[in-house]
Amino acid sequence: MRWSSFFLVIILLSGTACRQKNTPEAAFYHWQTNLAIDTAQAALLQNLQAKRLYVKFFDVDWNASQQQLVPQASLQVEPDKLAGIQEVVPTVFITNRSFLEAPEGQIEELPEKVLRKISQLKEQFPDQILFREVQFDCDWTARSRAAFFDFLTQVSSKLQEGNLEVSVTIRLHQLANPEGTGVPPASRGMLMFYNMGSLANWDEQNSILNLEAALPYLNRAARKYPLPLDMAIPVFNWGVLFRDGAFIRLVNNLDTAQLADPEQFEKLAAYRFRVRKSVYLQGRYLYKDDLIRVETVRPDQLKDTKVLLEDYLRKAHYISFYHLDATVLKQIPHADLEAFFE
Amino acid sequence: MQTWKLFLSSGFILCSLLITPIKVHSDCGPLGTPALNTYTFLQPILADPAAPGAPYFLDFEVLYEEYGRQSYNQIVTNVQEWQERFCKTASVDDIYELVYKSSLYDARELINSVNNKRLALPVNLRGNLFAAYIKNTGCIETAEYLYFAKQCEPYVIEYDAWELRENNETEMRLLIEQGRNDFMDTESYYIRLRYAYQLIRLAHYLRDYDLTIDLYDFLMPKIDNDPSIIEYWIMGHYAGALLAKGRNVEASYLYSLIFENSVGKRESALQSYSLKSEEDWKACLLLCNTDEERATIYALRANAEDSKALEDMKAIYELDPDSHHLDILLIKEMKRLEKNLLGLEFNPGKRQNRQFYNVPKPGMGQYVIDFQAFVRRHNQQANPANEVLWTLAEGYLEVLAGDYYAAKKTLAKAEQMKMSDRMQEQLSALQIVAQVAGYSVVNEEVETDIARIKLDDATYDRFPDFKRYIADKLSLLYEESGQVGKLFLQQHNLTDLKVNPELEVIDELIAIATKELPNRFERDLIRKEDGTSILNDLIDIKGTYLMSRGEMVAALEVFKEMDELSWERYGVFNPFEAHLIDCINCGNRDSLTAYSKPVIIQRIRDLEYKALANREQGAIYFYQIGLAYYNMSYFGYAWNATDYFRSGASLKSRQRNAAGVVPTWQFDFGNKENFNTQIAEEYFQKAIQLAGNSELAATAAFMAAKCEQSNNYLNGGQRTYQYFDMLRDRYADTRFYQKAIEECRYFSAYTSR
Repeated sequence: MRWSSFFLVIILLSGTACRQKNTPEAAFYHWQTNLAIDTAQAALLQNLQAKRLYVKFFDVDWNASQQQLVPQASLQVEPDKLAGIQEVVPTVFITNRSFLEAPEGQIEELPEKVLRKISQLKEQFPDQILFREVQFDCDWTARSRAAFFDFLTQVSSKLQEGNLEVSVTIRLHQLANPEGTGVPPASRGMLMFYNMGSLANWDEQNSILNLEAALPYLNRAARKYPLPLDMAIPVFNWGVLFRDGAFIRLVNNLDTAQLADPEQFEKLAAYRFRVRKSVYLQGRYLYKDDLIRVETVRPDQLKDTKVLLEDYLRKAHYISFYHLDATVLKQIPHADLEAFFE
Repeated sequence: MQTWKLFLSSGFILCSLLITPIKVHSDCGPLGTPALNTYTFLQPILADPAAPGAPYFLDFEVLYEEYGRQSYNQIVTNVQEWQERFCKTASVDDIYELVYKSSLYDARELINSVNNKRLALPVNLRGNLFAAYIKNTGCIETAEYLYFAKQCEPYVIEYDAWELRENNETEMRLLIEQGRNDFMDTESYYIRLRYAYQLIRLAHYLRDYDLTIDLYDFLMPKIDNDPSIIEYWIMGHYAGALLAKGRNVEASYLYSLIFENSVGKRESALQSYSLKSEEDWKACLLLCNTDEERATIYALRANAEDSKALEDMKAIYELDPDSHHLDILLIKEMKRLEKNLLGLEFNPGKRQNRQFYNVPKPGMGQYVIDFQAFVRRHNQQANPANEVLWTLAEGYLEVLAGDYYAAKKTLAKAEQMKMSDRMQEQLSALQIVAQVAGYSVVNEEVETDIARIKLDDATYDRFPDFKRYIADKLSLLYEESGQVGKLFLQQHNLTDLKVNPELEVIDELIAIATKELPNRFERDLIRKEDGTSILNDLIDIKGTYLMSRGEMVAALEVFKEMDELSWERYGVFNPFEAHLIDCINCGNRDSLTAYSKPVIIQRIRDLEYKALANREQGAIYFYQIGLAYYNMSYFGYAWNATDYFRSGASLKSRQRNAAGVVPTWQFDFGNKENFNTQIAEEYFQKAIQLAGNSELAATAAFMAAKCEQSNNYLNGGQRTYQYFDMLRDRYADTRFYQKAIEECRYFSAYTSR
C-alpha cells in the first residue's frame, strides 16, 4: 500500500515541538570484506561530502564444531584506494548466539580479543585516517542482554582510555521498548531504519522499508530514547526466495533486471517472479516454481522516510546509508540522498 | 480455652494480606521458542557410512562424529598410506609418532644416522620401527623428505583466528626453492609426490595463486606414481588457487573428484565446491569424464539446504541407477518427508511447528507422491541395488502418504529379504509406525496390540520417539471416542491431575482401576513404577478435590473406598488452629495434633453436630469449623489439606482468568487453587450470631473480615468492609478490638478514617 498522506500529517504535527538546530553529516556503511573505494563510490562520497565510513572490520560468531567464538570475514584494506575517506568507524557484528552459546570464560575474554583484533586490522589504514568511535552491532535479546551489555561496559572503559567512543546499533523494537529490551551502555546509538517488515511472508510488500510497519515503533518511548541517535538509512536491494510456500533465503543484490529473461522467470507482478525452470542464480540453484520477491528502496520511499523521520534526522549527528555499493546506488539519484541533508 | 485468647494467639493473615504486596510470577514459562515437535524413526544404520555423502548429507550426528571429521581422517589415511608403502614394516603408532610428533631435531638426527651407520637413532626415536626401517634400509630420500616437511610445518598449521598471521613470506619462498631442488634430486616418485604436496601447499598458503598453479603444472608431470591419497591433497590446493583466480568451474570439478575419492579432504572439498550460474553448471558437466563423475556433481547440487533432491536423483538414476549417491539422497529426503509429514493428523505440536518452523512445508504432500513414483520405478528394475533400503523406503513413503495398507504389505515383503540384525530392527520400527498410524478406532484389540508393543517388543525401547508417537495417536482416538481418563494419561500424569483435578477423568480412571478384568494395556496404565495400583491415589485426589469444594459428606464417602490404614499416608494436618502471625507455609505449631483428611471431615461433622445440639456452646464450634475451612483454603496455613500445589502467583493470575484454572509453567495442564472462603465466612457469621460474649463475636467478626477481603481480592470491584464496620460499631470496647488495632495497621488505619 502507498504511504498515505494521513500518516504524514500525523508525523508532521507531532514533530513540530522541541526542534533542535543540528546539521547531520553524511556517512556510509561498508559491509564487504575488501575495502577499496572505486571511482563511482568516490564520486558519491564527494557529492554527499561524506567523510565518515562505518567499516565492518569482522564478524564474531559461535563456531559449534570448534566450540569457540571466532572472528570471521576479517577486513582487507587496499590503502591506496581510500579516496575521500577521512574518518573510519570500525564496526563489529556480533551474532546474538555468540552471547547465548559461548561459555562464560570465552565471553569474559571477548572484549580483549575484539579490541586487539580491531587494533590489528586498523594498522592497514594510512596514519591520516581518523578513528574516534567504534561501533558494535548485535541484535541482542532478553537472554543475551546482560552478557552483551557487560561486554560493552568493558570495551567502553578500555576505549575511553584512547579517547574513543562506543556506539551501538539500535533496532526498531529496541527503540520502542527501552524498558523491556534495556538501553545499552554506550555513548551513541545508530538507529537501523530498515528490515522492518515481515520478511518471510510472501504477501509482504517490502520488508526492507515498510513505513506502515515502522510507524508503531516510533512511539512516545522512541522519541525519548535515552541514547543520542544517529540514523542508518537503507540503500540496498535483495531477492527473497520462497519454495513450496516457505521462505528459503535471501539473494543479495538482486534486482529485477537479473530476472528479465522470460524463458527462465515469469513476472507475476511488479517485483514478483516465478521460476519457470530450475536454474542457477548467484550460486544458488533455484527450482521450478520457486517464487522471488525483489525488494529495493525506491526514491519515493526515501522521500517519505525523510518526512517520517524528520525529528530523528534533525537530532542526528550522522545519517549513514547502508551500504556503499555502486551498483545499487546507481539506481538512486544522488539528489535523493542529498535531500536528507537539506 | 477462651476463643478470643485463641484468636489473639493465632495468625493474623488478613493484616499481612492487606499490607504486604503480593508478589506474582509471570504466567509464562522459561523464555524461548518451543522446540520442533516431530517424530523420527530413521536410523543411521540405513546408510553406508563409507559412502562419500553419508557423514555430510545426512543429519546423523553419529555418522559425522565417526566418519566425517576431516582432520582425523586425514591423519588416519596418511599414516595408513605410509604403512602400505613401507610394506607394513612398522605399526601405525610408530609411523604416527615419526610423521606427526617427532621434532625437527629428531628428523635431522635421523638423516645423520642414515648417513652414518655407526650413529644410533636419536633418543626419542629409539624403538620406533619406522625410523629403524628407514635407517636400516638407508632410505635417505625419505629421511630428507621428513626433515623438509618438518621445516614446512610451522607455516601451514592452523593459526589462531584472533591473531594476525605472521608474515613469513621470505622463509616460505626459500623453502619452496629448496624443496624444488630436493624434488628434482629425488628418485622415488612417491617421495617426489610428497615434496610436490609440500611445495604446492606452501605456495597456496602464501596466497601466491599463480605460483601454486605454476608449481602444479611443473611438478606433477614429473611424477609417475601409483595412485595415492596425496594426489587429492595436492588437487585441493591446486583447486583452491584456481578458485582464487576466478576459475571456479575447473576448481569445482576438481573438488567433486576430491569429494568422491578422498576421505581426508572430503569436508573441505564440499565446502569449497562453487558453481554460480547455469553456464558454470554446463561447463562443469563437460569437464566430467564419466557418468560417475557427473553423478557426483548432481549429488553435490542435491545436497544444498532446502534442495528438492528428487530432480537431481532422477538425473543420477539416468546416469547410473546403482549410484551410491542415490542411497544417501534417498535417506536424506526420507528424513525430510518424515519430519514434515509423519503423524500430522495427531501431532499436538503442529500449531507451534507451523508457527515457528514452517513445518510442514506446504508442498510436501505433492512431493511425497512424486517421490513415491520415483522409488517405485527404481524398485521395479531388475535386481535393484540395495534392495532392502529401497523397499523399506517404499513402505515408509506409503506411511507418510497415508496408505497404511500398502505400507504394511511392502514392509512385509521386506521381511523376506536377507538383512542385518540392525536393519531388521529398523524394519520392525517402521512396521510399528505403520501399524499405529493405521488405527482408525481404539478398542480392546488395539489396546492389547499397543500393550504388546510397549511391553514385549524390544524395538519400542530402542526408539525414544515411540512413546510420544503412540501416546499422541491414542490421544486422538480416545478423544474421538470420549474416553477422557485414558486420554488424560496419554498426555499427562497423576501429578497434573492432582494440581488440576477433573472429576470425569478421575471417575473413569477409578472405574478402570476397579475393573474386574482389565486388559493388559489398562493394567499397565494404572500401574505405578513400584508395581502398585494408582487406585488409592485417585481416591485421595477425588476426596481432596471434593473437600476443596466444601462437599465434605461426599468426600468422606470417597475416602472410605480406601483402606482406613492408608489414610495417613496421604498426609496429616491440623486446620483448627488460629495463628497470630500469618505464615502460609509454617504448618502447625502443635505437631502432635494432626488429622488425616477423612478424620478432619469427621471432626468438622462432629463439631457441627455439637453446635446444633448445644446452642449455648454453638458459637465456639461454628468458629472452629470456620477456622478449619479458612485455614484449608488458599489463604490458610493448612492449604495442603485440600490442594497439592500452591503458587503465590495464582491470586494475580486468577484475577485475570475467571475460569478458575490458573496457568502455570510448572504444569502444562494448569493449576486449580482452593480460593473458596465463602463457607468459612458463613460459619463465622453463625458464630457471631450465636456468640454469648462479645470477645468471641469480635474474634469471629475479624475472621469473617479476612474472608470478605479474600473475596474482594478474588473478584475485584468495589471493596466492602462490613465486618470492619461491625467490629468498630459493636465491639470497640472489647479487648480483642484493642489488640486488633495494635496488631493490624490496616484495620487501625480503617478505623481512624
